[in-house]
Amino acid sequence: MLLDVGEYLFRIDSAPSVVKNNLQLMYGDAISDCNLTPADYTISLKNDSLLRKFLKPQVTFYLGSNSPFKPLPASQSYPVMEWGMNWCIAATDFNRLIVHAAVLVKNNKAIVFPATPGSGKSTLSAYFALSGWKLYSDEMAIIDLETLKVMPLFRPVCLKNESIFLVKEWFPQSIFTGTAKDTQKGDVAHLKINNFAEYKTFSPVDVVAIVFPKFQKNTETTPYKISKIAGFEKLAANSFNYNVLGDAGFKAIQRLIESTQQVEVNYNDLSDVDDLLTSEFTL
Amino acid sequence: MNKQEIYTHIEKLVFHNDIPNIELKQWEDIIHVLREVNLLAACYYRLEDENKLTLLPFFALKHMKSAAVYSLRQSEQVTFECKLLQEILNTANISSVFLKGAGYTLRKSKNSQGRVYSDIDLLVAKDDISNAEKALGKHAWCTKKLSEYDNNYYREWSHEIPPMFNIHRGTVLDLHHNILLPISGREVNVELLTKNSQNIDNTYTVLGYAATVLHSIVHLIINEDVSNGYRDILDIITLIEENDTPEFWQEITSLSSKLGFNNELYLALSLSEKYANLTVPNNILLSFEEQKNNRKLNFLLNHVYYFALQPHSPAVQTFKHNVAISIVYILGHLQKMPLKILIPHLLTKSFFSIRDQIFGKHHFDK
Repeated sequence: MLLDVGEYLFRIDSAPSVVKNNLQLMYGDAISDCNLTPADYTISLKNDSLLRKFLKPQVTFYLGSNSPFKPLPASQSYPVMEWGMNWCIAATDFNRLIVHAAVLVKNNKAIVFPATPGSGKSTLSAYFALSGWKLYSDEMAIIDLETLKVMPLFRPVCLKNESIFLVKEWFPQSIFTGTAKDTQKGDVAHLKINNFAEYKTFSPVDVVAIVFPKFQKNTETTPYKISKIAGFEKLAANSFNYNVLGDAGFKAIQRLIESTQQVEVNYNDLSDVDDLLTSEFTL
Repeated sequence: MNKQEIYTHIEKLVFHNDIPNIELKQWEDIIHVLREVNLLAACYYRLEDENKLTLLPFFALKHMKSAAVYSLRQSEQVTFECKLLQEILNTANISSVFLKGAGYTLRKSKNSQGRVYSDIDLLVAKDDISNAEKALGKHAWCTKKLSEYDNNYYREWSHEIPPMFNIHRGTVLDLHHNILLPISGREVNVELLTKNSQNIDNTYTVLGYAATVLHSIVHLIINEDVSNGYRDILDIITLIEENDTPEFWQEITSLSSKLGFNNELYLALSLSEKYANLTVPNNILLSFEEQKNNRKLNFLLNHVYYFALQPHSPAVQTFKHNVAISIVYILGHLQKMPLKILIPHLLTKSFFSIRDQIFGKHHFDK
């Protein structure tokens, strides 16, 4: 089974049927059986202890014959698969700058939302993506080191805890996987945004702003610009491979910071943030 | 492609820089195996050297390039760690020699390009070991917590102390006082091994060239774990090709005779011939008359090591590879330990292995 997430092609060697069903639900027509292009990663999710097939079953993620994580309870199989795929990209692609961030695009302009704690990044991704923005990624911004354009990825949104209920309430038609309880990130469910044909119309675009959202109860939506130095530090700190890219990474972040605006936004209403960003950046 | 075809392409690519003439789709297997054996970056640099990168399809190039970026970062990191380690040991008045990977990087030998490391290996005199451990301890280097059994293994029988790691950066350091376990009865005369050591940048000490190659060979052949064997034999071949002079051959044969590693040298050179058509000078070949007639050694060469060192990846491994790896596992242990220690050791290890199969690998982790 081959899974095309846009910039990367995964070959799924073996996986429990519940995972395959969820992959089908989330990725649908991005899955095929034969392909003329070579896959980047061969991955699998296996149960590798005899006793644990029956008692408290566990699964282990493999890239080829190596497993980067310890086994996790089988009830978390689908999130483990998704996180394993994230790991493959973050741990092996040093041809682009990869930032732990959501990327949303409107009017061919991208806004990058780094995953600072308390940002509500994934809730924001889900809300924006279901309100007219194009979701380029919920988890990682893939940025070309030369053109600084951000590449679209075809992945679902990973929602946690209360935001699962919120999004289901806001968008009752949305397509979710089941909820995996008590993972390292709490309760987790994945949300499908686009189908593959829609995704295929997305192309690399320029970044206009790096926005650091901060969810606060009882607050007016207030933006304030932050210094270039602070923006640089925050973006670098959220990059998965800045420390490996060395000079190329430094220059890419420097150019990105110089060519975009960096804003912090305190909010408690996502539709206000949508309005604010749309008018501020004429999206 | 079947396993044999994949392997043939890998061998030509890795040792001869021959770019396989295959369909784009088939590159998937090649890149997959090279990633499994950590040779993507090494291939990148070897092909770059011969101006052949442009002949690669973009798919292969992007994966090799990416691995090359990572390896470059590692080599900068290793150089940085070596500098700090050297300062600590200088202050404590302990002389040391950087071995293996870190040694290659410091001497900038060709095989260091694209090489990835799991740790830094450092040799100090046996009497200096505990002072070195203390001095390093003052600078955030701690000893890894091991099971009591493993800890005793290191302290009582081994030629190195349990791995140390830097609590800030996670770098792992293996501190050795010999290159072989004392208990193997083949402990090396370190004075002889380090006699022609070289000074690098007026700062670091690495083994002399012949001693470096010989150490690589001993480490590869007298070892139960050959999971990095393909990379290790490439190290040896690349090191020899880079310094293929009469003086080198004279020095390595003389050193190997003195230290008692002629069989290992013969095995490694013959393997290099088999994989890479390495040309060994005639006079050197003649000196191996005894080894050539040693049927056991030639069996090991052709039927065990030749397969055991091939990439440890299910994409190319068959039954004969697995058998060969098992034989090396037993032989490697036998060479390191006398039977009365080996048998209880293997029983203990297999008990833990069976236990982990049943309960899962990390069930008993603390």
